[in-house]
Amino acid sequence: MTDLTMLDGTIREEMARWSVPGLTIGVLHAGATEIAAYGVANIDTGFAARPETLFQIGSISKIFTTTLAMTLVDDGVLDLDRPVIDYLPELPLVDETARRTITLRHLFSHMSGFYGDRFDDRGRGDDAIALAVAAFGDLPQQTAPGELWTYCNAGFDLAGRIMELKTGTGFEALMRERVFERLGLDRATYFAEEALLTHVAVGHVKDDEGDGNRVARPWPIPRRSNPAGGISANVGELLRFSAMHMGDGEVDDVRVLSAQSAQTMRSKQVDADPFREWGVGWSRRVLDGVTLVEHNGATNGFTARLTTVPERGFAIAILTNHASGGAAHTAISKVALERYLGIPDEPAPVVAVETDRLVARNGTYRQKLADLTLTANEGGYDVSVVNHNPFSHETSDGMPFRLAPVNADATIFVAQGGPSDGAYADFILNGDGGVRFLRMGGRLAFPG
Amino acid sequence: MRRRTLAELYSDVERILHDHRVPGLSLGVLSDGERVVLPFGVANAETGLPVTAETLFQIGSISKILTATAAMPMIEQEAVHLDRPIREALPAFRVADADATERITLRHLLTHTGGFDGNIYIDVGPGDDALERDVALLADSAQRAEPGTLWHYANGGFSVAGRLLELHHGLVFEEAMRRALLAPLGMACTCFDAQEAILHPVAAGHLVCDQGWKVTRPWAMPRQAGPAGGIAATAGDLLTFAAAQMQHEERLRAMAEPLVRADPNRMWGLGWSVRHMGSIPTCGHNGLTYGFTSQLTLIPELNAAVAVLVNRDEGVGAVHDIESLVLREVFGLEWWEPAEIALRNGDLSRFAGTYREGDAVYQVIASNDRLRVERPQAPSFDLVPVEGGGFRAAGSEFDRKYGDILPGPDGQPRLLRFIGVLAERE
Repeated sequence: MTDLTMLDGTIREEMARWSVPGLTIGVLHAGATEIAAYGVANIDTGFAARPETLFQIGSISKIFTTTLAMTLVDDGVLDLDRPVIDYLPELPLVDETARRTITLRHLFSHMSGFYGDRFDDRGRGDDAIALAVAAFGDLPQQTAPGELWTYCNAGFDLAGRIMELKTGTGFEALMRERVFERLGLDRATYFAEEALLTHVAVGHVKDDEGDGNRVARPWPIPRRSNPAGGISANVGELLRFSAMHMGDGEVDDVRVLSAQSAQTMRSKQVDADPFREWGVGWSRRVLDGVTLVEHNGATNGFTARLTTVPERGFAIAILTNHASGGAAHTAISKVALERYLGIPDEPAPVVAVETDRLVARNGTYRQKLADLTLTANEGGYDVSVVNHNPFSHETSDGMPFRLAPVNADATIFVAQGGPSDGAYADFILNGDGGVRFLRMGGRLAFPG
Repeated sequence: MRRRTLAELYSDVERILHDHRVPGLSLGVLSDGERVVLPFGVANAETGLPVTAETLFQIGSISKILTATAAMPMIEQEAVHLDRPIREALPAFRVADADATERITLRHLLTHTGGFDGNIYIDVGPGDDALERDVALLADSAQRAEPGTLWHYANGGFSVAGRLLELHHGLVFEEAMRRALLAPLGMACTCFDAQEAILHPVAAGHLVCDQGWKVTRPWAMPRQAGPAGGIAATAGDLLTFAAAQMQHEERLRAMAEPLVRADPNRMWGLGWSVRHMGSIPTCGHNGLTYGFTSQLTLIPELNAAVAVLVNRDEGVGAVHDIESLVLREVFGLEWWEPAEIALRNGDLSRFAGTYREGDAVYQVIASNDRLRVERPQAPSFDLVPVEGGGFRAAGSEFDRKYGDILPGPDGQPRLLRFIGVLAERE
């Protein structure tokens, strides 16, 4: 008999290991839903996390944004493959070719090539997304459209703006009308004014001054980033949303998407970073021949994960209120996949490489959210990290970790230790074999 | 002179909450240098989470006192003058009447004697320019009397005070308040919006209806309402504020000096409402927002204060009863209220007539020993004459509130005035 209590020990261990104050977990399996809550929603109030507690889900919101767009595709209002300048002629992008050729499909599969970690606050007015997009003229074009998969938050803000323009309705109101209300998701919200009227968690980060945690400030992400990551929701509502997707757009006789759109979203569009593929919105991995269709999320002091296995009718949602909760939910998810579905989730095996071959690429690689310093050692790299929180604008030292090679060319690595344990990184090379970028977490870090 | 301790009143308070159908209360009492905050009931009827001593409530117009107090250093340092035209400090200030525009002073604004209708609400959005745009709305405010001659409650005057703080400090209102008042006093929980409040235990507002309690949605505090009514605080923070004001005797005396009669029951100072308990003066303010009712009262002579914060709409009766209980049982004090007086029908009939304000019509009829007020689409109420020449209302949303029917230049009754009402007789 498989049930959520099987995971209890793992959940408590991982929460303790990563100092996670509160966590909720939901599993949809064999037609039944189980939900459990652990710890506290807020270390200052001490209020318990409950199954219905709202957590910020971060980039899992992108699946909602993509779903919303696909409802408009179903209604003939949008086309995935029309250039977006047809919808927004004044789109300011610095590269003219990109400006004229980028499509919604590029945006939802992170193939547009423009830099995307822009979270500058454009206020809380209804014009926040419009103001953000109007400033896209200074986003560097890092690669050509379609050339290289690179995680792009700003692409979703742009998609959100296009939806506002085509419908004449504000983004959040549009989502409420066409997705939240249709599915009966009464609690999911973009707004603190609504979230604080129900059980809601706050984010936590490590307290630099002591051994423990502190509440993360500010609570909300800027409104302009709502399409990329602005939803607060509970695991029950995420599972209902997942059931709709796995039901090819329908659940309990409520249809949100056409079957074709639901399938398009989860179908492979591109090879993303090592061992991952991307669909339209959804992230994909194939483990032991089984396709996982999923997405993670992280905001200021929250980390989240939603994994569906459509061919098994299985879904798991894990929401945590700590910045380092990603390591916890990754570990819990592994155990869940193994116990419920018999799918092993092990990292690619490490390959022996001589340290001398790695030394040439020692150095610091910088991207807006983190600087990684690599030092070749014992057949891999020792990595030290400086994190830059884009919401609180704080800089902090991250936990050091190792990058161990998983291919003979020593261009693909697996992280060992630290909150990113099990994640992959790769060197993207120039024509002359020099390093163009170190790609990790979907971001391009520049050498030097 | 403590009679009973606060803890001994617990079941009496609970009974009042039950009788008035109040979901939750945070009750704060400052006395003999000791601060006690007692939480009761639920912060939110849907979640069932309890009120704690750290729970935030919307404090409504108690915000005006915080704003006025934050402005006092500017006045004391003569960066702005109480009795100079406000246009000197804020050239953008304008009301509809050109003459009044040039004559209205900061003192008029803080005492609600500007004489204009200052309660226009048009959403100006959440931008940093919210207060600037809110002040601009006053340009359409009708003038009801010469500046300085009529007490007429006007929220807009406090938007102006808030805007002055912005200009003086070169900061948005919320930051100016943190710098000028909240940080120096250590009012750590006090905040201005849901984005900040969500980090704390926070009460939802509630309406009382036949089926029970309904949480008011959304939990809204429009940015432009900050200075006049848009602050959320804990009872503890309000006691901290009260203690600090009573320490600063000279300033409090200046602010709480009764300057103008507002109704038969109270005078007004610079922001503060001034009443008496026997011979002991108090200063305070109430707060009413959508879903919340509150009251803060200071008794400087006793170095005491009481803060009552409830999360139900139209909770004036509950707040009054709780506060009165504490004042009587803990301090041995009773509010002075004007006594009913007997007027003959002949004396009352002169007040009869039809009074109008915009679309609101009040049909006043002399009826035995009182006046009866009928309204086309709202409940009727009585006006009982009281000493001092005004009335106490009985019934409807005006129940127990004090008001006046003021004479015009010819000495005949002309203006029916309550907070929020200034209707003219035809």
